[in-house]
This record gives sequence, C-alpha cells and structure tokens, in this order.
Amino acid sequence: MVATVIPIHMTDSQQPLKLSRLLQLCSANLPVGGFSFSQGLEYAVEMGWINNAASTESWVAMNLSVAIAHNDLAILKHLHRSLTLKDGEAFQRWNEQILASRESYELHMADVAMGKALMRLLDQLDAADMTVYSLFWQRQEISFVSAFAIAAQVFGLDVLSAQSGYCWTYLDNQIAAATKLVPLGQTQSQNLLFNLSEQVELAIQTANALEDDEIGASMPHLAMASAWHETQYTRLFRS
Amino acid sequence: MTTNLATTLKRQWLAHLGLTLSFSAHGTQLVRTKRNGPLSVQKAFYPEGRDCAHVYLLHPPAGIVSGDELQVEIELTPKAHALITTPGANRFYRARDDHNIGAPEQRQTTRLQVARAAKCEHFPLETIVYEGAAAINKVDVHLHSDSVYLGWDISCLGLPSAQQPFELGRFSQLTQIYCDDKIIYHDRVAINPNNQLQQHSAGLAGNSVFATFVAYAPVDIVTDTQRQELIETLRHSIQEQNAEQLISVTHIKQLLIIRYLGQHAEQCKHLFILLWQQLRPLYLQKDGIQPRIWHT
Repeated sequence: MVATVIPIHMTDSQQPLKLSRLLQLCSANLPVGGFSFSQGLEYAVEMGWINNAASTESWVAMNLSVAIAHNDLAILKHLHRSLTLKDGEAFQRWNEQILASRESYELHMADVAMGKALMRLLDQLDAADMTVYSLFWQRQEISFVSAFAIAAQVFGLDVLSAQSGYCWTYLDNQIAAATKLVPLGQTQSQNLLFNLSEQVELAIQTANALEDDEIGASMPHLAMASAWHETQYTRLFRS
Repeated sequence: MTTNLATTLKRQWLAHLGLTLSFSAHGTQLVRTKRNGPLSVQKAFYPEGRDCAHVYLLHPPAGIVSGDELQVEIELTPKAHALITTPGANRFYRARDDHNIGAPEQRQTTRLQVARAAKCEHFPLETIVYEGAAAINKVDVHLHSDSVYLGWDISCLGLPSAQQPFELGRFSQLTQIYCDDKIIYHDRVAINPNNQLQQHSAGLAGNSVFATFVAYAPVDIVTDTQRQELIETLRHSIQEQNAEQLISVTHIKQLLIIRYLGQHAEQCKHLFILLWQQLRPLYLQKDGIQPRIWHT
C-alpha cells in the first residue's frame, strides 16, 4: 500500500498553534482514562475472534467505518455546530442521543466516565474560558463525544480537525488495548495505526453525508461482547 | 400529463391502524380502532382477567412489498395494561428491481404511546426479511417515567434453511425509546451489501437471526438491587439452557437490554419467553402465562 501524502499548508499563522492544540487534545497523555477501556475488545480477544494483527485491523476498521462513522462522527458534527451556534437545546438533544446509542452498561459507563474526566480537565485549564460552554453542560451526564466537541471549541479547532482527532483518539486507544491483549509487537501496532489512519477520511465523509434520520449504527456482536465482558473472569480493562 | 400517469401507475399501499386502550372500572378496554387498509385487530382477549387486554394485530396479506408503508399506532392511557402480539411472522418480500414503477423501499413503523402508570408488552412474532428486500422496520416507544414497557423485535435475514442467504438485501431495524420525551435508547442495526455487517465478527458474525428484548420499569417497581439480582438470575437460566454464546444481558440505568444472535427464530422465541416469564412477576406482578396463540 502507498500511503497518502498530506501536505500541511502553513499559510495560516495560527496553524502551528492549532496543530499543537489538536495534538494535545488527542495525546495519549490526556488524563481522561481512555486506556482503561477496551470497548469490547478484551472479550473479543478472550473468545478468539481477534488473535493477530489482521483480525485486530479488521475489527477496528469495521468499527470505524460503521459505528464511529455513522454515529460518533455524525453526532460530533452536530454537537460542534450547536456550540458554534450557541444552541444549547440542540447540544443537549445530541448529547442525549449519543448516550442513548451506547449498547451496554460498560460502553455507556466508559463514555460517561471519559466525558466527565475531559470536562473536569477543561474546567481546570487556567487559560481556557469555559463560561459559555458551562451553559451547555449543566452538570448532567455528558458523553465523551460531547465533551470532545466542547474541547475542540475551547481549543479553537474546526469540525474536521475535531473529527480527525476523535478518530485518532479512538484508533490509538484500541490499538494500545490490542497491543496488550492480543498481544501485538510495538512495530505491528505502529503499522496498524499507519494503515487504519488511511480510512479516517472516508469515515468522516460518510458521517458528513448522512441525513439526521440516518444517524446511528449498532454492532450487535460487539454489543454482546461488551455485555459478556461484565462477567469476564480475569480482565485488565474496565470495558 | 405523462408525469401524472407515471405517478398513478406507481404501486404504493399505505396502511394504517390506530388503537387506543383505556383503563376503567371494567378493566383495560379497546376503546378506539381506526383502520385504513389491510391491517386490523381482533377484539381483545382477557385470559388473565379484565385488567390486562391481549391484543392480536392481524395483517392479512402477511407481507410487505415495495411501496408499502404500514403504520401501527397504539396508545395506552393511564393505568391501561396491554399485551400486544401477532399470530404470524411478518414478511418483507424481495423489493422490485424496476424503479420506474416506484421506489423499492418497504416500511413498517410502529409507534407506542404509553401513559403514566400504563403497562405495555409488545411481542410481535419474528420479521422475515427476504433476500433482495429494501426494508425498514421502525419501532418508536414513548414512555412516561412511571410506565412499564417490555418489548422485543426478532429479525430473520433470508431463508437460510431453504438455501436462500441474504446477500443483496438491505434491512434496517431501528428502535427508539423515549422516556418523558427524552431519548433513552437508540438502536439501529443496518444490514446492507456494502457494510459487511452480517458476516463480520463485530456485526452478526455470519448469523441470520438477531433480536433484542428490552424492559423498562420505574425505580419504585424495579430497584437497582432487584434489577441486579434479576440479571444474575437471568444469566443463570441462560447458562442452564446452554445459551451463554447466544444471549447477552446488560442494562443502562432502568432499561434492561437482552440480545440474541443465532440461527433460529424458534430458539430465540423459546429463550425470550423463558426470560419473560422470569421478568414478568417483578415488572408486572403477573405470572408469565403464554398467550395461547404462541403455542400454535
């Protein structure tokens, strides 16, 4: 496979800052607990559905192209836009819908825990002005996707950067989980990240072409894996 | 003129059935039936006494073809209790290939409105989706936080036993549950030739039957502790049935979510009925005595 070459045009004097902000938001060091959650992957490995680099890639790619594209990325676009428009009602509604689309106790719990951790972090960033956004988040449950939309706004990131960053966060977390669980070698993992990133653009295009009433895509066996994980005997991850 | 002619020739069949069930001193009664098209309903049965009406939805042609749009709307007013089922499987037939005579889509939409302290059990038999279908089955449930809802949907893709796999068809099962107008459950399983969901291990893992059974009750009827005990009990009976690989149980707050993934609608119904019999005393203070029509 030939990797796509993406030129970064530094025409905008803010570009290096924007890029730094995006890297900070998507860094594995961001203290939101993403690495505590395997999102069903731990059970899939336990059952042998995932047992090497190829099956890891297929599992993650499937999630990216179906569930993440048709649900998370599409809703992230609406959340980001409702913040731009200062439309708190729309923000609440999309936050409710994404939480309602979590298919199991653990997937829901992971989403809410990461959302809460990211909001806590944003609240504690000295230079970040959260006054506007605190109106949208009246201390009720918030999805990580919704918190990510707020973070993107606070960090001055456009919707496309937010969506790309969200995909990276997802891929990075899943491959880190797979590296421990399958297990994979460090080089194998980097190869997977390199390959899977090539599919991000299509996922975002798919998401942005959806009508509102087309949003949502459940993965039945993954949902069941996540429910079964609740009683898995030995486990490293919280989901 | 030509456009008008083309429009009139397009084959389309809209059917609507609206029911209202109300509770009074005489128990739960079917007080309103509004029909348009082939959908109908028999008079309510009372095999467990007057407070719970058993309602059979009838769909005489038994199948949905391209251009069909079936709408079922059922309203339960405060304190009413209804068990709604169907005497036969629902069928989405192969969609038409000739789009000149109309769009290929086939739709069924069920809208359930469950008022305060009303109880709705919605157990249609399985939906069979034929190879080449272009079907959308949508279930919208509007609950009050005090109402109780138990409902399932069972979808069968193709007729694998008759060597008719599901390769070209499109099917979406969308279930949305609202509680006090806030969405609490949004589940869309969309199968199509492009997304490989049916074959993939994260999707249907090559299975042809997928099903979801959900149960909602307010916290004063099912407490967190009771739900946790119930989940343990359900998981135990699933083990006894050697069905650990076929059924999962989880919950999101007050909503219990049970999923089946396998090859046989009969097996799925058998397992769901078994679990329903364990749920019913807690959720509805009634034993799970099967409607007679399920035995036939």
